[in-house]
Amino acid sequence: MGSPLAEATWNGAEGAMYTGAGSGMEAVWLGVSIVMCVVALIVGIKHENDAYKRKQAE
Amino acid sequence: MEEQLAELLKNSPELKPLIDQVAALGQKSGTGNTAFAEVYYFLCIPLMVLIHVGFLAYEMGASRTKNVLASGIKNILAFAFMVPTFYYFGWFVYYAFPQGFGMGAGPNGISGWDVAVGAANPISAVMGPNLGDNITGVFVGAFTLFAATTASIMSGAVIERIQVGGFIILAIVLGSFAWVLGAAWGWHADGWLVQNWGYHDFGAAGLVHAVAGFFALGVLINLGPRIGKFNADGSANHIAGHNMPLTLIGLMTIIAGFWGFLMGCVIVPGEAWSWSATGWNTIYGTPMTLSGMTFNILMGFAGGIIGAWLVTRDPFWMMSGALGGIISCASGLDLWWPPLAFAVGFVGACMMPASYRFFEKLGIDDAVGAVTVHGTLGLWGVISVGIFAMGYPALQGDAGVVQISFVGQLVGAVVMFLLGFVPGYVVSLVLRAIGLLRVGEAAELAGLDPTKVPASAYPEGIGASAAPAE
Repeated sequence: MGSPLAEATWNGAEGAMYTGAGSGMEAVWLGVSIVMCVVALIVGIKHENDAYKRKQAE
Repeated sequence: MEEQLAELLKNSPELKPLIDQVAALGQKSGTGNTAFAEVYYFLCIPLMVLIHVGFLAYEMGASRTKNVLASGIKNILAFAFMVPTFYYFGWFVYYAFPQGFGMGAGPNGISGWDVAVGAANPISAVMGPNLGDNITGVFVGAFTLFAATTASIMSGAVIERIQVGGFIILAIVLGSFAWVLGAAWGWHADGWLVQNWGYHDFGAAGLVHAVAGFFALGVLINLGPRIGKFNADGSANHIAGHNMPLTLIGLMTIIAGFWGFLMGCVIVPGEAWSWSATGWNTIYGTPMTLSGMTFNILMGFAGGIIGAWLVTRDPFWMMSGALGGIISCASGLDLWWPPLAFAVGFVGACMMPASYRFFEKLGIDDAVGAVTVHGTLGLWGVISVGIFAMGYPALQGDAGVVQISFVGQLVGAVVMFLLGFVPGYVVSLVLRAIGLLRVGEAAELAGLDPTKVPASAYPEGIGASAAPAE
């Protein structure tokens, strides 16, 4: 990742300038962020179901 | 222009300073227009965030004290999950599917598989900071806020008994797919509903409000009513929220946010992606003015409040009527004669109590009237354009383009109903089957805040939740 600029100057910079532009890592980070969403959702569902079970057992 | 200036310079070299100045002014003007266009849509986004401020207050106020924070969490998460999922696939759906599931190219050349892959897939170079692209992120932002609005519409209807995990899945299906498909078909200028039927839904009464409202209906059928909502004989009890003033302020905040929502429905002139060099347009490319839209938003808003006051005398329904009045007028906000907009909003608001009672008699517990305000009035908004605005050209171009018609609007209304109801019903049915839809009975009776929220809304106490569900 890091800077996609060919040289350490903004002079002449154009086009995509996000971290790792054109490096092929875009899809990797896309996948990482999707996994984060899915994991958060699954853990959230588990926390919720545990809470309902605890309440039912009271 | 540049060739003409070069020719002029060749014949009259003494004019060079003047020609240079004209060129500089032209460049400055173009830069100014680009900056204006970018800022225009950028400012739609915080205004639309106000919609979510409003929905948050509205839902928490409509909840009993034992469920206040759980309702808030649900609403906040709907917004949060909408952002990445719309980025992952919602934007792609809008560009890929206007001509249908085959993803063929549309007549304007701005849709289909190739366009979507080039400009709207989540690893495209324009889906992040790019010095050659001033606008994609701002458009994605505005559409994401439309998406989050649909999820919030559903969110209010299902408070106090839905599991948050199941709700998030439903919100993603609605916000990042179902309504986007409606937008691709009935909002995108290449959309088959627009091209073939002249469907006109400028302010998204059908493709946002009706889709979200009837999605909520599909969910409510499988979710079931809150404990205590209905008596054994089928009669309904009113389950009051804990804070009506908060609900009213929330509704008024949603109205404020609607100005941003409707600003986002307009195409600014003078850019490469604009419909026109000089005039404002609808998303279909037809001419309109902010002035005309302003007349009609205000008249629909007022008609909705006054109509609801006439038939209910209830401040909750009056503020819902404000929203309902604008929704009733939304499809034709670019076209209405303002007193007609007032009447359309007024009639829509007058329908609300009957619509709400109709669904209640069917055993539907819609906690905030979302199916009525967004679903029923969304359809009324679409159909009213077919009744009162037929004959307008639905697209730009020479005489003979497809026109707005009653049949076209009716077809659009049916499509929007199905686009909401079918996925809402089917996905919630699956979630119910796997135990992810409804909270447990003990948790519902005790309250969702004490069951699963590590915080207290009113730690110093407030009046106990009202009967009958205690």
